[in-house]
Amino acid sequence: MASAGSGDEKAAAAAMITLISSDNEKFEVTEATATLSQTIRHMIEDGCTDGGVPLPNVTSKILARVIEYCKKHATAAAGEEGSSSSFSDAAFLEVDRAFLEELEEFDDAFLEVDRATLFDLILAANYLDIKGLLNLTCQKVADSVKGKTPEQIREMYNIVNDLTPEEEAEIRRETQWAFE
Amino acid sequence: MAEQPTETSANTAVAGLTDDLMIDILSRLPVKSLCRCKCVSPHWRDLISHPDHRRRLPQTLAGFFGKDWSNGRVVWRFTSLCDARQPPLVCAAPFSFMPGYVTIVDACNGLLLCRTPTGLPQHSPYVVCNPATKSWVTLPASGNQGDDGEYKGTASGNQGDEDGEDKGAALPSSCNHGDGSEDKGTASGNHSDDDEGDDEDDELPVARLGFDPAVSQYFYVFVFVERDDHTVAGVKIYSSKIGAWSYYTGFPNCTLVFHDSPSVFLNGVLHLSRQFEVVGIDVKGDVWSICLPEDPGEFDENNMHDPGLLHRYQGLLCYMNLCDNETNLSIWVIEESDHGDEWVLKHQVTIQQLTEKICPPETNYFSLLTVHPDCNWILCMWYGGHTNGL
Repeated sequence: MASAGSGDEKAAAAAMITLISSDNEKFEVTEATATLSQTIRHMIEDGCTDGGVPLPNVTSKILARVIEYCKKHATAAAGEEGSSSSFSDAAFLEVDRAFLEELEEFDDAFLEVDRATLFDLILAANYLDIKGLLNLTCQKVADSVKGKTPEQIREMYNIVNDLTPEEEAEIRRETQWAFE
Repeated sequence: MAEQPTETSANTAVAGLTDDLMIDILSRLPVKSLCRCKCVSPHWRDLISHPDHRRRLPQTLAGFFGKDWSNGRVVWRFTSLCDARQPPLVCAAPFSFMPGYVTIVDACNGLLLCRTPTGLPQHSPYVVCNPATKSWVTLPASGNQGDDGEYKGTASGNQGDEDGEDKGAALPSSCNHGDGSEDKGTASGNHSDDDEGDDEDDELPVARLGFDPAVSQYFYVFVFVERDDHTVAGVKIYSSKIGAWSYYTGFPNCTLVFHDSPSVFLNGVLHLSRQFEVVGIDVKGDVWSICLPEDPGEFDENNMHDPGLLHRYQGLLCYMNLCDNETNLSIWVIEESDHGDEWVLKHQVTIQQLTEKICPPETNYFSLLTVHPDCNWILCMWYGGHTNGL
């Protein structure tokens, strides 16, 4: 904002924020991208982003993915805004739909990660308060649990079963219908 | 456990999620999956069973209350459905926490509407309680037909809100399986014989409880005000949100409601079935009606018509009735269509088909109790007092 942009369109985009991962890698992103995170948005509002925003809870590997998500979704948001003035309603709806479809495809592809990464993304999304990403990743985990047996869930998430056989039998007895 | 060192990364990943995030994930599951998840590990079990979390998690039927006679007095017993294979578990004294003798008037999603025989002048005889958390709130007096402004926003009323929230979520500890909150099959239409024997009911107004934790943390109590000819003059509605009663008129002139009129609270609307129709009353006192799905010609005007049952089934309003001399059971649900809401026949079975596997064929006296809101169960009762899931 402080730096005067060379052109009108570039003015907003020119405001860059530096994000610093836990392993000290620096990422330059636009303010539009960064403000998908409510946490960073508040930092910007409070004017404490000079010299970069340290994110000690997020590794560079995960931060790169998070930024990828934010860039895409920030672009989509900007695209929608930009298109609304220059198209007729029908054309706008068409473009809008195309955007949404593209975004959905992006999200699906984005979620093709191993489980450890998925959980790291959830933690990062939670920490950075990125609602869309949190929703997306939590739903992905929920979908993977849906309809699975306890054994399958344990195996999938590598959870050690330290329920005693008696405890497990008791739970199964309580809600027998859920196991049929 | 031996593999822990080699597999820690994935393991820590799940463990690294905060309880809040785990609940966020679990709350996206259907009830059935959620129940299965309790078997995954003690942590998951405790997480799902925790009273604070249940509010955010899907709920289902835990059991129901039934009336019984003991030494000439009505005794309430809770029958848990947690264990279908064993005889019903009955709490010895489900209301031992209550200040005195109470009668259950209605039940809705884990809360009970009870009546005490003697209310204090500033209190109504109605008590809303949660047997799971052993908490209760006494409603303020309703006054004469809505003249109750002075009780607005009393501390006790507001306290009720908070309690109500917990009540819906917290479930009987004897059935801590993440299900639970719908204690159904109570005074209304449960044992018609008992109801007839309960003379005091005749003089008391018909009352119903509305509570749906999935929609709102507040509960509502509907008390019908009758004229001398027993038609409905209006309804007093207590809202735990404002902690006060309001009085609404606007009923069709000939509306009759009975103590055993089947009812269900769904999406903020109390549905009561009467002779040929279902009356809907929302919490703002608006009233409308929809005809029952069956041809009124089937009803025998001379006999007391069995009004059937109204229930919630997978989020829809469901109506069940025995017809054709009680040989067929029909199950209908209301579904939205282009022409508005319409009854759709979901199942029609003969009683023989239903019962041949589970009871002797000569046992043909039975009554419907309830529908499991999430799975394909109907609960029935026959003369021996046993219940069966179908």
